[in-house]
Amino acid sequence: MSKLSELSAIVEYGKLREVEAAVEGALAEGNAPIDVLNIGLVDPINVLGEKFRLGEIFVPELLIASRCMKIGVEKVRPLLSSGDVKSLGKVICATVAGDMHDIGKNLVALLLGSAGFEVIDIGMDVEPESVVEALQENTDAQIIGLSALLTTTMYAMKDTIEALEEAGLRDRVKIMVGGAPVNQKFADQIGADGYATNATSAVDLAKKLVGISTSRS
Amino acid sequence: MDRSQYNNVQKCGSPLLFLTQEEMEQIHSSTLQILQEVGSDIQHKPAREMLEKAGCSVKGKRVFIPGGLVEWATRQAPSHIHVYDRDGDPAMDLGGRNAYYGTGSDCPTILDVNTGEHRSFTYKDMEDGAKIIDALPQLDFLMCCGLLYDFPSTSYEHQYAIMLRNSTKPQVVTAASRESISNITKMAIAVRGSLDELAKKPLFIMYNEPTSPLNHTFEAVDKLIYCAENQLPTNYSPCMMTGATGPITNAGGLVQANAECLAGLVIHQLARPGSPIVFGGAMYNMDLKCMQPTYCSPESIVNNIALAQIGRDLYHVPTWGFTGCSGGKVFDAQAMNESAQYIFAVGFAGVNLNHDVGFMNYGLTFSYEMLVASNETISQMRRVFDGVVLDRDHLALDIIKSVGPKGHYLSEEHTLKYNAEMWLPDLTDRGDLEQWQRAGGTTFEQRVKARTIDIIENYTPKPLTPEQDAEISEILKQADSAAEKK
Repeated sequence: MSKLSELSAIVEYGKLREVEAAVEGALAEGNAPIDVLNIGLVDPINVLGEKFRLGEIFVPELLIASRCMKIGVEKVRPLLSSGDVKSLGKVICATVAGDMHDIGKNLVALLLGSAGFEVIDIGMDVEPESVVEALQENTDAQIIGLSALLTTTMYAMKDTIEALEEAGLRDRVKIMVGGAPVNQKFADQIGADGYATNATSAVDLAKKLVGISTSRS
Repeated sequence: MDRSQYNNVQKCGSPLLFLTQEEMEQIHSSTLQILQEVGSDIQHKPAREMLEKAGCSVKGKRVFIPGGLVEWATRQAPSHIHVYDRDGDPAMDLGGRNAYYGTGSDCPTILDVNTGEHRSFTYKDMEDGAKIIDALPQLDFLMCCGLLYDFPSTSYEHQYAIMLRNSTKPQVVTAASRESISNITKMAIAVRGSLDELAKKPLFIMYNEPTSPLNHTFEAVDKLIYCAENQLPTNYSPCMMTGATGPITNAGGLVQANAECLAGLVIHQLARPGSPIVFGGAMYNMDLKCMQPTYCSPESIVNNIALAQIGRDLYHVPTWGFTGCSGGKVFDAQAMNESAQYIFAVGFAGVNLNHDVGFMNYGLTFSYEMLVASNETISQMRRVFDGVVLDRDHLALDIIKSVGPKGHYLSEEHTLKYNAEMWLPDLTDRGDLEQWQRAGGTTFEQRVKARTIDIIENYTPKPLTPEQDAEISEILKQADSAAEKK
C-alpha cells in the first residue's frame, strides 16, 4: 500500500495519534503536498460524509475522522500555496440569545466542517450585537446559521436578523435557521433564507445557499 | 438482520421477586397438604404401583403423596440442564436466572402474512416457521408453531423432522405418546449418533403437562417415565384456567399448580432419581364473560413468575415460562403490547425456558409477524437486563473532565468506542419526520411484514448432512407404515 493510501485509511478509521506520522510518511514518499491534502486527507472525509448521509456509519466516526483531517491539514499547510486549501464557504454559527442548548448547533457546525465549510462557531446565548460583530470580523462569511431550542428564545432569531438589517449587513449573507420549535413558516416570517429540519439537511441547505448543487433531490 | 450484539441471558440488578421466603414456604406447605389430603388422580397403573411402593397411599386411581416423599424428590432433580444445538455446541444453560426465549407449538391456525386471513397451517408454513426462528438471533429455541393435519397419527414426528431440517437451534417438542416421543428420540439420535450422546448433550426438551385440576393422564405420565428412563429432559407444565380448572385467586392457582407439578416431579424422580426436569407452568384465568383463557393477563404473568420463583429459589430446579403471546386476533398494537409486557416480565424475573413467542388468539393462531417483531423486543429487553457497567472507563471521569462544561461528546473517541455497546434498532424507526418520510413513511407493521416475507423467501438454514436427512426420512417412513397397520 502506498503511503498516501495508508494516510487515507488512517483518516478514515479515525486514528488520531497516527495522522501526523502518516502525513510525514506520505510527503517523504515524494507525494506533492496538494495530493497529500486532497487524496490523503479530504477524500476519506467525503467518502465518510456520504456514508453518514446514507445511514451506514455513526456521527462520531465522521467527526473523529474530521479531527484527523484537521490535524493533517495543519501539518501539511506550511507546504501549500495560499489557494490550495479550498473551503466551500465560511459559515458563522450561533445559538441565539437566552438559549443555552447548543448541541444541535454543534452538530450542524461539525457536519458543515466535515463537509468542507470553514465554520466560525461563536457559541451559545449569543446576543444579536455579537452576531453583527462576528460578521464584521469575518467579512468573507457567506452564511449565518442560527439555532434555538425554545419557543421563548426562537424570537431572538428575529432580533438577530433585525440587528443585521440595522447594521446594513443583512444583504451580505444568507441566513439559515433551525431548532426543534422552528419551522419553514417561522423562517419565512422572520425573513430567513432557509430552514433545515436536521443537521444533515442543514449541510445540504448551506451548499444550496452558496450555490453548490447536492446529489440529493 | 438484527444487528444487535445483545444476547444477554443473565439477569443483573435486583431480581423481580413476588414472594418472600416465608410466602414460598406457605405455598409449599399448603401444596403438601393438598397432595397428602386431597390426592392426585394418576391414570397410569405402573406409576401408581411405583408410588405405592415408595410410601404413597392409593385408593383406586387416587394417590396420596406424603410430604416427605415430595421433598425427597425435589432434592433429587438437578438445578441446571445444559442443552446443545444441532451441531453439538452449548446453546442453553437452564437454571439460575438465565432467560431464554422460544416459540410455542401446535396452533390450529396461522395468520397469513400475505393475506391477513386466519387459515390452517400447510407443510410449507411449518418449514417457514422453523426457518424464521433459525434466522432470528434472539430466539434461543423452537417449538413447532403450528399443527400439521396431513399426518393424523404421526403429525408430531413430521413436525419434529421439519424443525430438525430447518434450524440448528434446540427444540422443545410435543408428542402424542411414548411411541411418538421415541420416534422423535430416534430422529435426534440420527443427529447425535447415539442415545448416550443425546442424553449427554440434549437437543430437545420434551413438553408435557398434567390436566388441571389434579389429574395426570396415562400419556403424560408415560412420557414422563420415558424421559426419566432415557435421561432426556422434560417439563411438566399445568395449563390451568383459573376460575374454571383452578381456583381464581393467584395464591390458590399457585397451590394447585404446584401440587400438579410436584406430583409429576415425584413420579419422574421415582422412575429414575436425578433425571432432568423443568419446573413451572401457567395459571391463566378464564375470562368469565367470553369464556376464553386469557393467557397473557396480568394475573397470569404474576402466577407464571411466582411459580418459577418457587421452582428456582425453593426447589432449585430449572424453570418454565410463558412469553411473547397475545389474545389479539391480528398483528396490531394489542398484540405487541401484550407480547412485549410478557417478554419483559419473564426476562426480568429470570425465568429460564420461556415459550409461546408468536402466539395470538389465546394460542389458537400463530403470527410470524409477531414473532419477527418480538425478536426486536427481546433484543431491546436484553439490553435493559444488562443494566449498568461500572468500571473506570465506563464511569467516564476522564472524558467528563476533558470535555468540561459547555463542551460536547460527539467527536470523542470514548463516544465512538462505547457506541459499539449501544442497542441498535433494526425494525424500530428512529429517524426524524423528514428522514422517516423519505425512507417511505412506513409503519412498524409494514416493516415487520416486509422482513417476515424477506426471511421466508431468502433465508436458507444450514442443512443436515445427506446421511442424517436420509435416516430421518427412513424413521418417518417406518412411523407412517406402523401407524397405517393400526
